[in-house]
Amino acid sequence: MGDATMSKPVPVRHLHVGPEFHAEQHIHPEPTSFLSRYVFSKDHKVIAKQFLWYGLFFLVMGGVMAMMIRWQIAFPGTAFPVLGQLLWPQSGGVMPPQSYAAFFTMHGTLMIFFAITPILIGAFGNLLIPLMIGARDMAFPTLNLMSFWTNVLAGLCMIVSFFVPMGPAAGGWQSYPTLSTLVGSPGHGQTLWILGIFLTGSASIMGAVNYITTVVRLRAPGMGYFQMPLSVWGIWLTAILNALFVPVLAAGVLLLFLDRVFGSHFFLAGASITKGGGDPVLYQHLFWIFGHPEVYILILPAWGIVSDLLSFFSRKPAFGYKATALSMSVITLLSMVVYGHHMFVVGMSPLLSQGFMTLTMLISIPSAVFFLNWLGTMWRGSIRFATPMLFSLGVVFVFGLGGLTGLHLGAISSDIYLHDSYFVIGHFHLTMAASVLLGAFAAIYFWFPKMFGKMMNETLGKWHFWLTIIPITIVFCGMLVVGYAGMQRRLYNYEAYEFLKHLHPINVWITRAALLLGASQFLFVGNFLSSLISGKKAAENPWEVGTLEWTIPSPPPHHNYDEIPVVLHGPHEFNNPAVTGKDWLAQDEPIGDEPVALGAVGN
Amino acid sequence: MHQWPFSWLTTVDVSRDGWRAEALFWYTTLLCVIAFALVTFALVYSSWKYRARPGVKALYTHGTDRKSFAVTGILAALVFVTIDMNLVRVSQADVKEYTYNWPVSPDTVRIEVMPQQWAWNIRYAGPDGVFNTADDVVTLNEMRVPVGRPVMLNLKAKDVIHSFYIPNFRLKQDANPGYVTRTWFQALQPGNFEIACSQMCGWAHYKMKGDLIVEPEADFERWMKEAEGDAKRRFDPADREQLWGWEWVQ
Ligand code: HEM
Ligand SMILES: [Cu+2]
Ligand SMILES: [Cu+2]
Repeated sequence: MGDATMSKPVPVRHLHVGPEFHAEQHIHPEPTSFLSRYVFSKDHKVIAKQFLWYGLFFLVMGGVMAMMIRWQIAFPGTAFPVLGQLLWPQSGGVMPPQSYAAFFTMHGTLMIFFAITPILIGAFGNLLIPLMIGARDMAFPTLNLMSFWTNVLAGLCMIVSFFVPMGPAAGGWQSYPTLSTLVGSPGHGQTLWILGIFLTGSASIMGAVNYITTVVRLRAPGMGYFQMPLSVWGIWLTAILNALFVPVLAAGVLLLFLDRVFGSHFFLAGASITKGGGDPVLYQHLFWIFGHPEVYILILPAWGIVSDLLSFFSRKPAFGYKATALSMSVITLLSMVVYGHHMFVVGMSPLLSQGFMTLTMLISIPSAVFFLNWLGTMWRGSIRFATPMLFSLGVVFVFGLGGLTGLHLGAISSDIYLHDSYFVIGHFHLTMAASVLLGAFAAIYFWFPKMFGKMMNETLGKWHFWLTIIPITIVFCGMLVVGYAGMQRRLYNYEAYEFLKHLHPINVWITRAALLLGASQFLFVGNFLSSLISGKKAAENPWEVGTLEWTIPSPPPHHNYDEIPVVLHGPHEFNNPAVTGKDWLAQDEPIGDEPVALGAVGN
Repeated sequence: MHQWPFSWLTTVDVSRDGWRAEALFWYTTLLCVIAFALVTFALVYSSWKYRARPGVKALYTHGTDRKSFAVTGILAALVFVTIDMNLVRVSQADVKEYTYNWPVSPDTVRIEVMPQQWAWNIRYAGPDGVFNTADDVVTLNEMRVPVGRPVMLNLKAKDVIHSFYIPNFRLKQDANPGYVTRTWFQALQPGNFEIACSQMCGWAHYKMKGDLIVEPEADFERWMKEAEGDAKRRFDPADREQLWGWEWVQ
């Protein structure tokens, strides 16, 4: 419909107002007590902030753990500054191997489920869906509240697990049995891990149901699916994947729980049991049926956001909007049928392996389409290099690296050599750590004004960008290099192996870059906090873009829209020749005195 | 050979089929470098060329014209055919000719491997050619194989999942509790090489090392004779634990 906007005299436009737009949205009075306003709030904007703080907290925790892991790899036998002495006084501040295993396990777990997921899906999903589709709130505000507080319980399980005897889970973020059963992990850490994953999974499902319903039911009149900003597309597809596949993970960890606590044998086999054995590899199937879609669960919101931001800052409509939305959808579908590429060395049937390999390769087609569309969006644009744009370009760059190195792992014969090596670590950090993290930064810099009503500092933002993108590329590309050289992942001390000793200089450089990366995040923390307190007041539409959230005050009032907007255009109407005096057009802004008729069904 | 000029980075490949992983790796890398160079070039070039300048407006297009569709479609198809289909083709040939092409020749050396936390138990069938009998040759953390003969492994883990990894052979195979997995390789030159575990198997995973000793045929046979003699002498019928082997899975 956005495409139909023309400079010629327009006939009356009949907006599509199907039954889905009739859901009633009352204006509720703003709650007045502190508790109902800031703690147990049902306002999607408040919950978005809660998720943001929650995610940032765990991002710091997971990040510090990454630094300590890297420290141990590069400087084994030396104490990590300050924290080392606090955590391991008995070994003079040196991390023992048990803690190393616990730390990479918890680093992975916290980063994925407690940092990235809350920030991109929890915070930006909550903030953006209602605002961008012109709704007053989520479809189920109480469910939203429950989703956040269930997550808090989950986070508590993880934190408590650090303080139980024998420490937290230490069997890798996938927690493969039988290592994760009592055979390999006695103690309560692993059990708490299962509870935490189960709870955060339940919270994700609650969120997903809410997001899907909201997008289907609460779009403002005129906001067809193909008028939605691509950010909403990304988050919506993520919600669909979450609703379908998190239950599979939940089932897997539940069976693991039964094995640990009630002595069942779903995943137990081998010398540890005498009869009635189960199959540990069954867990791997369940895990990866979820695990592969999970990668897309993390990246789809970032893709959507980047697709929007590239258009916003190139001052050009998103190139091939529909093709981008559709290729994201196709990837969503394909992500359901490729999981076997994680299991080429477990001894799966050759036929299955070959099938999964071929299906995996198909992902290149839709990926190529939206990469080309991203480049097409910039082509002949008028690009403004504000901080969110820099981070978006960073996403395209690192995701390019990450996506391409997936090819090495998707083909069976090279994967057999690279499986479980640092090549895998480099690859998946580029795709789902670096690019999603950069996407999260882009989103924070961009929507901070709308969220908090203040601007962030651009100069600090740009320094933060360069001091992030350079070391992050060195770190994860360095991991690709040592991975190719044959270094396995999850090694407390790789120098135990003769064939890895010569990699020392490279590993030291990776760690130096990682420490620089860690240090430069202080620029972000400083910028974030100081802007929050004393940032310049944000105008309604500081970036001069047309999506609905920028047509209301920053921050928006409790009920978002005094009147539900009527959407007339797509989200990216930049430099529309029919518009004079400015280069953008709000989605609900008539061009001249274009007549509009509401209430007709279909158009 | 294939890995030049990066051979200093990785271990020597001493196997008959390790070149396959190397060749596919570098082939993929080459294609990736080309694709990535193009993307990065486009990214940097448009960033510079189309930076906001006073008086210059962005083009108003949604990229929905036929030409844009054609260009996008053709490029995406090109990527799929030239990159992906090629990789699948090469990899299919590899698995057909090597990975799943189990050795059947009578001179194949057959070995059972049972990793446990944190060691490698190795078993040869002995003179009777049958596994799990009194004459089996059993070693710990030491696998001896002759140069030039195919070696086939049966793997099964005792406690948790481990993965048998021999970097000099570009080979890796998980060993699971409960059922047998298989893999095979053939050495082209003698030497001492490392066996590594590549699946997280507990806190001491990082030092779960073994030795792979590749010897000339004659030396191997001499060692085997000696070991078979020892095996008979050492066998203790009362100790059921030592019969951890299983019926061979071809
Ligand atoms: C940005 C700085 C980061 C650095 C320097 C870093 C570094 C590392 C290192 C050194 C490992 C351990 C590899 C090993 O010993 O096997 C690791 C594992 C991992 N990281 Fe990160 N990481 C970072 C961010 C992230 C983020 C944002 C995510 C979330 C998406 C993430 C997810 C993981 C996962 C899932 C693992 C695997 C854990 C396991 O082996 O069980 N990392 N990371
Ligand atoms: Cu996958
Ligand atoms: Cu092991």
